[in-house]
Amino acid sequence: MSETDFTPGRTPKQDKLYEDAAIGFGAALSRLARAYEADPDKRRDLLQEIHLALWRSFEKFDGRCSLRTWVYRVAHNAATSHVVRQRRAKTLSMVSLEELEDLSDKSEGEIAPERRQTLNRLLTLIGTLKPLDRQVIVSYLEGMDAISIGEITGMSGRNVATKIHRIKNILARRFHEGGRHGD
Amino acid sequence: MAIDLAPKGMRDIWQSQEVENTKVSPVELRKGVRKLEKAGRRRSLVGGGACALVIACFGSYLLTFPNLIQCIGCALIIVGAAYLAYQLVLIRTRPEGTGAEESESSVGMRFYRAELERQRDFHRGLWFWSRLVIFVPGPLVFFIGIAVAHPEVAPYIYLEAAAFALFAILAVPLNLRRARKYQHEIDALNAAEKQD
Repeated sequence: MSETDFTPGRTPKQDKLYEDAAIGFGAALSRLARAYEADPDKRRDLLQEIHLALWRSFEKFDGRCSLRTWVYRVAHNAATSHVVRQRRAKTLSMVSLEELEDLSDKSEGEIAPERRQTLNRLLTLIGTLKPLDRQVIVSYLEGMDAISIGEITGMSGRNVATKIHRIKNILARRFHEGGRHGD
Repeated sequence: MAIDLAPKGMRDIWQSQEVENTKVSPVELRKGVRKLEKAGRRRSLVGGGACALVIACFGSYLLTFPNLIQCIGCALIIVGAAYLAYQLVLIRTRPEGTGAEESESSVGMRFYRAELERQRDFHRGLWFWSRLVIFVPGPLVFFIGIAVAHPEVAPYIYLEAAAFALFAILAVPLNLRRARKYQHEIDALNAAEKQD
């Protein structure tokens, strides 16, 4: 029996869907993993876990939502499980977007000169958020609109719009002195 | 060069970050599934083996200790280990996709709530109290039995028993506090959903 025959019930369709997802969203999934895990070794494992969850999930993919929505749901859910597990082990403290908006940033007003520095600060900020808010901010940064984010998270359009408004405020306040509200 | 830090600029920074290419080959995916299944089997074997060892040890004590209290303690410990083994078998034989858990493709809110509920129930309710009831009385009775059988070391044994009981008692508020934290988060999710 060859390696590819190993798991019964896995179909070429499942492989094809995974292939399409990996090509279309591979980089986005890597970025998503960065939003959930800062440690590079653990992140590699998480990413592997996400890919595995994705491939397994395609056995049940029925096309009732778009491939993109499916991919992000599965990936965020796998990452959420990872965060909940980590939280139990390390008693991580996480905040919501609402709480973050009220917290003062120690480095507020100081604009990072380099993109890398800015990215690192952004990742640190995302890392403090509760899983559901992380889903919203990551999806927002990936360029999705409120409807698409709602399909992934299950939140109403209004709720997502409120959260996006908060995200914009937080980003503007923490990264852009003077708070230029674009987009 | 100035960096555009407005939200749109942040999206650019986010999307242009360097990331590793991680497409996994079908062979690797199947290997991964096999590895996961193996790890699950190994965990069950280790757990089952530990239960079997406890049952065998305390089963033999049942035959060797003449003291009735020790025998009752042994019997309670055996019941606890057997219950744990039964739980392991239940988890192992549960078909995929059954139970209250959300599926991996559920919308984020439902999935997260289910994860929080699972964590909460670990720290309170039937699962928590049954673990406590099954694992605490057996060792306590067994300690008392030893103290009765060996009066010369009884004070030390009672001290150990007291320490064990203290840990068991402390476990209650600590677990309930954790459960409350999870419940607060669940309540916040429910409230947000109701507002919609």
